[in-house]
Amino acid sequence: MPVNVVVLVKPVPLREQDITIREDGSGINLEELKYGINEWDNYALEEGLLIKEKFGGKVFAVTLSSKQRDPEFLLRECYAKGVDSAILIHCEESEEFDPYLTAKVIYEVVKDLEYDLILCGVQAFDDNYTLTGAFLAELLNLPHASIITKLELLPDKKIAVVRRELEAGVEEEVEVDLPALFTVQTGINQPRYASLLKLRSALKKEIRVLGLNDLGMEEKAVLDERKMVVRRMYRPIVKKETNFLEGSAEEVSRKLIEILREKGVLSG
Amino acid sequence: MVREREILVVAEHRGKELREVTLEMLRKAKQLSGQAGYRVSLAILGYGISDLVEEASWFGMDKVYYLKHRELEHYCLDCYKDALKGLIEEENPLLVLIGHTATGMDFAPSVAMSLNLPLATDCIDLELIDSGLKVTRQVYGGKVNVELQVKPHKSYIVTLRPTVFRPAEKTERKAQIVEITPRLGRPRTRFVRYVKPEIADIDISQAELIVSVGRGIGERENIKLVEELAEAIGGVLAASRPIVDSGWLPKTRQVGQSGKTVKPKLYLAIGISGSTQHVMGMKNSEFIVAINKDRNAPIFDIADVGIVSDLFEVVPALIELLKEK
Ligand SMILES: Cc1cc2nc3c(=O)[nH]c(=O)nc-3n(C[C@H](O)[C@H](O)[C@H](O)COP(=O)(O)OP(=O)(O)OC[C@H]3O[C@@H](n4cnc5c(N)ncnc54)[C@H](O)[C@@H]3O)c2cc1C
Repeated sequence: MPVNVVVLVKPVPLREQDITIREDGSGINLEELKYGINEWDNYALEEGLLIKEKFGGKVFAVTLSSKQRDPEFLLRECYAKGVDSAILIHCEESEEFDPYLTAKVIYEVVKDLEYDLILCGVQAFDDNYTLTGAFLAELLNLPHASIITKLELLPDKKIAVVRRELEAGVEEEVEVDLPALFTVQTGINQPRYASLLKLRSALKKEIRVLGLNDLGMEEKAVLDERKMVVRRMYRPIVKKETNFLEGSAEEVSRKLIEILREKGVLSG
Repeated sequence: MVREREILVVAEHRGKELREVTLEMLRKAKQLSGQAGYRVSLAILGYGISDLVEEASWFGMDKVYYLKHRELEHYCLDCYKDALKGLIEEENPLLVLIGHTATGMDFAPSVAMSLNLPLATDCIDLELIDSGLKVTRQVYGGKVNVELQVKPHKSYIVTLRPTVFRPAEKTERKAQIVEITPRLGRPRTRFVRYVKPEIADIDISQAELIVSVGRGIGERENIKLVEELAEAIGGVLAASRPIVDSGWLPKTRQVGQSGKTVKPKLYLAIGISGSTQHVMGMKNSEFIVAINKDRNAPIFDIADVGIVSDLFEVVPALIELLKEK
């Protein structure tokens, strides 16, 4: 029995970059950054592709993004990995969205797709809301389970058995009626890489691009619907005094060993 | 008659035990109510836990709602949603506090969306102001704080990050306990069982010296390097989550919220950024040393000693010096 899967993917700033705050504190300097698939979404995508390989069916990738995050490249990567159809909801205002608007706009697109399952990441590395998936599930009137580390589908029974990660290594096994939405935790699988060859052929694939107007919404007015807005951003205030060691690798190593011996942490 | 507004804390419990985050939320709720005279109440959802309810009623709130139903014996998304929706509609609290835990993260959004209420997640602080609610959260893996303004609404829902606030203490005053049988629909998610963690070869939570490695190590090959350092120090090797996700070290070596909690004499973090979920598992270590090439990595915020440098230069130098003696 084929299973159709919708996967939500978000382009986020790649790790290992300097995240700088705008001088007026109104936000991050997003223009200077490089973007790639959100770590958690990458596991969700892989899980979707594994389901397709096992049961047949289609995988749709859906992204809501502004231009500067280069969502087209991300969706080409999705094609190269085996996605059947990629949809980009292009919206410059999305940088100012709150999680309600994000979920609402994605809902307007996903509701018309034919799916048995929706997958997305537990959280996005940048805004860390952990809300898009659960909000979307509620809008679609679907059950959901979050932070899943194992997914077993029983399509003929119309259920899935999943493991949810709790704390301290304990997990919870839950039976969920299908269709359903799951937010996927890292480590559930080992995500594949897209080969260069496949990336090249993905250039020819068509990305369906939609704007808010296509969804019956207005670019400017939509921001009035937000329930929350950013007041300011700043670096966390640090209370602890850290002793920063300086010098060559050998010098700092010597100093560190000395400190540890003085503290009695190391013998000798 | 105008009723005083209420701050409603949703209790978290497992295995007939109240979880610490519940008391942390109660402390924050009381602090918020102190200024404005709001009532504080606690909602406990469950079945067969009257001892727990009795015990909880001594922590200084005005009222405890015991939402009692067989279907609530274990956590279930739809049952939590239905039960809390009913209570919130009935009591119309100004603020609902939920723990930002695996359970809270699961049901809070469904409750908020189904009632069309604003929800701010993973907050490290909040303040009720004239123009609504102001909350503080962390973004970009803890590198940036953001202050959000939640627009005025009849009620707000906030999930609070665990371990940020000190837990409330027991008082002399017992709260009124109100037992309610919530109306529940047919649940679409059903608890099956708990799965316990695997048994470890080495129990890192007992270790005195820990060398912990993170994504900065780059490749599986390089794990050898930190293994050697751990040996030279006479400690055990632990890791952040990405190392375990990649299968480079077993799950039993993972430090953090979803792994082990450790408090060694020395925690040496190598190529670990210091995300909240990691820090939760090691912040009570006696002495923390961090080696990271990024001066802005949040791990330095909690480190006693910091070395801003390439680990591939410092770690070999450390090994050599330790072997020398
Ligand atoms: C529900 C949930 C539960 C979680 N539970 C846990 C948990 O229990 N434990 C856990 O650890 N995480 C957990 N996480 C994941 C967590 O959010 C982070 O993704 C993770 O901790 C990051 O690990 P890291 O610091 O090793 O990697 P990164 O954040 O990628 O940091 C790598 C660091 O290495 C530094 N670096 C890179 N190269 C070098 C070099 N050559 N020399 C020196 N430094 C270098 C970089 O500057 C960077 O700071 C959880 C997440 C969720 C959503």
